[in-house]
Amino acid sequence: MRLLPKFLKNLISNRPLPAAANGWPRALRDYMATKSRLPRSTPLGDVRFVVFDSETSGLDLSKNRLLSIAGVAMAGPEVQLDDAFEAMVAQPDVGGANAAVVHGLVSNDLADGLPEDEAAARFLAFAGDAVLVAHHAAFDIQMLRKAIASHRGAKVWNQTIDTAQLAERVEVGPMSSNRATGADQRAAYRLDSLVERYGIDVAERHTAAGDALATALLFQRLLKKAQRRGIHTLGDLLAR
Amino acid sequence: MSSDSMILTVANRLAKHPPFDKLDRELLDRIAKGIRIRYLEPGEVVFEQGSAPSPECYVLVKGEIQVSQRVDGKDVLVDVCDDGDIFGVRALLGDRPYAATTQAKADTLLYVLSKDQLHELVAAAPRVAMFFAADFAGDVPQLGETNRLVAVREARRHERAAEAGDDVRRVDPVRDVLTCNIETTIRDAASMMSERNVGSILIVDEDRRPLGIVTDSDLRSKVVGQGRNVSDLISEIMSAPVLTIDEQTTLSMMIATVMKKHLHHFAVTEDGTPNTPVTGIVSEHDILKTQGSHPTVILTEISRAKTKERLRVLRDQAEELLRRYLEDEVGMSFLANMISEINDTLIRRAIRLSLQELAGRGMQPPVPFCWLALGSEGREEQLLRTDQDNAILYADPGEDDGAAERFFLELGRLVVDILVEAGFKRCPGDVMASNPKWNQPLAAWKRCFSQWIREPENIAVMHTNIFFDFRPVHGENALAAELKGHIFESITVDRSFLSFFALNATRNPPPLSFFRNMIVERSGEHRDAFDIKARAMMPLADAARVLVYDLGIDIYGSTAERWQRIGETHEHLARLAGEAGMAYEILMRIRALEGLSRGTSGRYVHIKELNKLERQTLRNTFSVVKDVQLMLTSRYRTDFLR
Repeated sequence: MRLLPKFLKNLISNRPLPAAANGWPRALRDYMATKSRLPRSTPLGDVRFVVFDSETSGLDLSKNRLLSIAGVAMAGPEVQLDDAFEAMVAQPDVGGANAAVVHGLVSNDLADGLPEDEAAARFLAFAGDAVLVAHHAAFDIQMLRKAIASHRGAKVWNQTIDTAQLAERVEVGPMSSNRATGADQRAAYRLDSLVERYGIDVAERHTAAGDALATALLFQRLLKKAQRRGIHTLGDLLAR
Repeated sequence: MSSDSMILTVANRLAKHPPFDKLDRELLDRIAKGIRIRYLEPGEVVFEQGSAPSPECYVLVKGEIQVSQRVDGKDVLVDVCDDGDIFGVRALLGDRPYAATTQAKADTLLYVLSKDQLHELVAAAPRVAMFFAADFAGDVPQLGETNRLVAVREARRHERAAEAGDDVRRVDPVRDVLTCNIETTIRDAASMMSERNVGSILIVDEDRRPLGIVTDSDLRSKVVGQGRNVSDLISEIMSAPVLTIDEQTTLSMMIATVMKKHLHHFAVTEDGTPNTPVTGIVSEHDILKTQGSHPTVILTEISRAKTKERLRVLRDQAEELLRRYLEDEVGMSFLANMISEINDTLIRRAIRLSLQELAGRGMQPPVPFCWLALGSEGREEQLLRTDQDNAILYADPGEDDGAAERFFLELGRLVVDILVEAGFKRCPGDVMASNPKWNQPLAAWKRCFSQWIREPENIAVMHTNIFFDFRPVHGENALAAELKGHIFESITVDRSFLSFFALNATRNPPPLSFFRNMIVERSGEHRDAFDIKARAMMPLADAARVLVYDLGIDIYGSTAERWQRIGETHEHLARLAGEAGMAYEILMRIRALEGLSRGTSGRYVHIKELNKLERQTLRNTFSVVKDVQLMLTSRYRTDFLR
């Protein structure tokens, strides 16, 4: 499917878009039109994953805004550098001191970027029908939803994988009794901790692109571990 | 779509390792953009021996990969790759099945390059071609058409572009070339030359393609000297053909030609052949001006030296020049050429001085003779001053009561003494023209070689294989040619001799590989230095010698030249021969540099002092040596002799 031109995909799916779609960014229309999920029986080697990370002006979903988003595709277990995405978001009213400190982005970078909905829409169009992978994915998916919330009828429909959950699952197993709990557990499954534990070294961490790449390298390792635990299809991987 | 930040991250990671460290940023980014990243757990296999190559090769970013070959049902470890190593190139470029199995031994991260990316890399960066040199043979289409040695030289030339040695420097040709047609008389040509005040005139056809050249020294010697009529046509005295070069020819190539052919002018033509119009002319004088201190100056001085003390001074100067050239990374074959030309000139001068001395005592050579250089000097491969290995071959004198024997022995002693004075140590095995055993008439030499060929066991014992590298340096070349003809004939009768020769070449296997600062031996043992001469160079030189004699290739050439000819004449050996010739050049250079930095013969190479590029390049030669040895074993069935 991935190799089909977009317009062909649209013809095949022929999914009617809501009336409001006329006002959507073009990328968002493309994304919504391609809507199709991979069968759960798909072997993991045939799945296109898009591992991504978004940087925001803070961790509070209600107040904070998307600052940048980056993702890289994986063809099964292999990271494909020529299938990647990176966008800055223009947020003239944020880019406050906090963001600059946390992400090393200065206000100028932000002013040059895309509108928030446009950046999210383009990312979603890039992802297409891929399985989205992120560390603490729920948060990033929420940010994407929020970014396109003004376009009624549009939504994020991809299957998603959370590398934090996956790490825990393949490391200790769902039935394990000696699971760490509370703050310790959260600390052990932060991206920083996992990256260190798995000996992944990626420069430019704490930017969207750097963290997306680090997450992809982490996901590669988790996939191998998962396979050893009998997880071979997309359905196996998505099961909780 | 792509992400600039991710490309930057990957490009920086690649740039930690050769050959990517020297790529220009644009190309590096382009390569990084197409990278795929693969992760392997211990035990996972990248590719299997015997399977068809995937259209990709691998840069090991982190981890460890073991390379093993299945031989007679047993898995033999042949290599260990660590961070920065590149593998899978050889099968890919050669489009042949993988020669080994590669398996991760630790958590391993690979950057995967596509075949197209690899080709782009090789095409765009000659330095990279050099890097893969020992691996790719004639397989890369972009380089396939040209002579491989030239390709290596070209790569080195680019590598050193910043340093502008003789290999990169070019001479500005004189554009305003004086020409005349073939109907011009000597008188007219001479007056044109004097009018323009130039030292040469090119004779060209109607399309300005060069036919010949006349210089003022031709006018002096051929017209004045031979009393020729100045109304004769210029074509009667012109030298033809003219040496032609193109605009890209480098100083060092010209110097090498001047020294080799004793010609002093080059016509520059559009495509470097005599088939296109002349665009300029370069004289030796122009070369001298560009070059400053010049080996041909030393050569001229040597051929004029009156005393052995003077010869020593000049030889020291030549060595100093060599040292500078080596540090400037001038091409290896050029250096070897230069040094053997200087040594040859020195030997010739020593012979001339000795003949003069004997003439002073009323002694003349009773029969023609030929001075033979043996061993590495015979192969024109001496770089550092080494021991003398030489011999005298003279025409059969008939009944002369030993007069010839006495004369040539005296000549041999005198010449060897002068050479010792000039700084060439005596041969510890006494293989010198001063030894009556190696100072013989043709018939005796023929008997000698016949015996070696009939009873080859003695060759290994006596190390007489250096005799088979003999090369005439002075005197009657026909004598050397006749001796060589005799050897070829004897070999066709007694082929078992070749097997013993081949066995000799397979006695010392190369090391397996390097891991970090150690050499990994097939036994699993690790060492920090290895004998580059015995373990890598001699096997290749020995193998080339066997093949050259077996295939009847009649050249007095270096090992690299021998391999080139072997590849040209025997198609099924072409690939291996190409790799072997290339490997030998690389080994010579590494040895010379080691010798230079340590003030030794360079025979023992210390691994931890090599940089990553040198190490990779050196390691690439090991598999070539191994392949050559395997070829010899099967071709000559040497297993039966052990």
